[in-house]
Amino acid sequence: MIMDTRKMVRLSLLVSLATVLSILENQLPIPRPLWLKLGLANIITLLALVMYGTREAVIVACMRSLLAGIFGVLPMLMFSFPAALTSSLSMGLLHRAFGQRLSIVGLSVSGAVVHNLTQLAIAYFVLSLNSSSILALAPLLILAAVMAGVLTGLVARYLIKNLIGGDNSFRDSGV
Amino acid sequence: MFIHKLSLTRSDIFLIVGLLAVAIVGLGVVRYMAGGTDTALVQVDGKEVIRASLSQDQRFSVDGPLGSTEIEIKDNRVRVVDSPCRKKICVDTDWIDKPYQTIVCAPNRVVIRLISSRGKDELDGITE
Repeated sequence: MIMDTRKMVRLSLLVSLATVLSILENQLPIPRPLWLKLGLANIITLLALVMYGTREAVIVACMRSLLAGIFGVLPMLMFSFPAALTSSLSMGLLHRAFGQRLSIVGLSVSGAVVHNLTQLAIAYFVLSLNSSSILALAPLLILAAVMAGVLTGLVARYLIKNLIGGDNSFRDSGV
Repeated sequence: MFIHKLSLTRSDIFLIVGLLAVAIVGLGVVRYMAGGTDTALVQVDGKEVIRASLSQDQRFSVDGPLGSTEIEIKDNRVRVVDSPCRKKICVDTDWIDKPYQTIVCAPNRVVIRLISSRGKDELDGITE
């Protein structure tokens, strides 16, 4: 991957933004069920996906996950890193497959669902909490992911619209 | 060029509605599988002591570290009548009758939960 300085700086900025959002979100003193999050950092992953593409989105998501893990609860990386990888990858592949037919909101929702199901799969297989009771959480996780995905997708849409201006490309457009 | 669609598309709606449908059907399936409850499972110190049918009204007691906890089953419900513990949280919990509800007396290490005799897996596995 050829990377010019401008792109590198932008990706670094995106990673740091995502990291801050991730850490901030974990420390928000609002009441919520322990393991449910909005996934604010996904906004930045979406931005990276729209600005550059799948590979860059995956890089931003994974770097963010690692950094937030280091500044947060390290063992949680076991859950957050694979989830960041699969969700960003799936969003990229879906974008590639569906192109214009799936908007930012649709991508965000599918990323959120993949994220949650990945973590569930890790809990089921890796931690061998081998009990159907944990799979009973799947519908709930999908429901939560759809709601969070729509919200963050809308935020990403608003952000991209104002940053880039409408349905146009701004790839390397000097924004 | 990386042109991106911003407005909601038909595929978006299909995706979201589809996922919601899957989730709701899933919730229904889970609820159905969890089924009703017909058995009270009493554990002391994590070990099963008594498995009692809810259909049979009865009173019995189990022994914990502090003494004996008296349990009553009546009209398909369970409650702790008396307990040697100090705060009596288990007694205050009063009747339970829904699947996977629990009464816990931490001081006396007694846990009562409602399970289904048909189900092979306990929904509480996650906490153990």
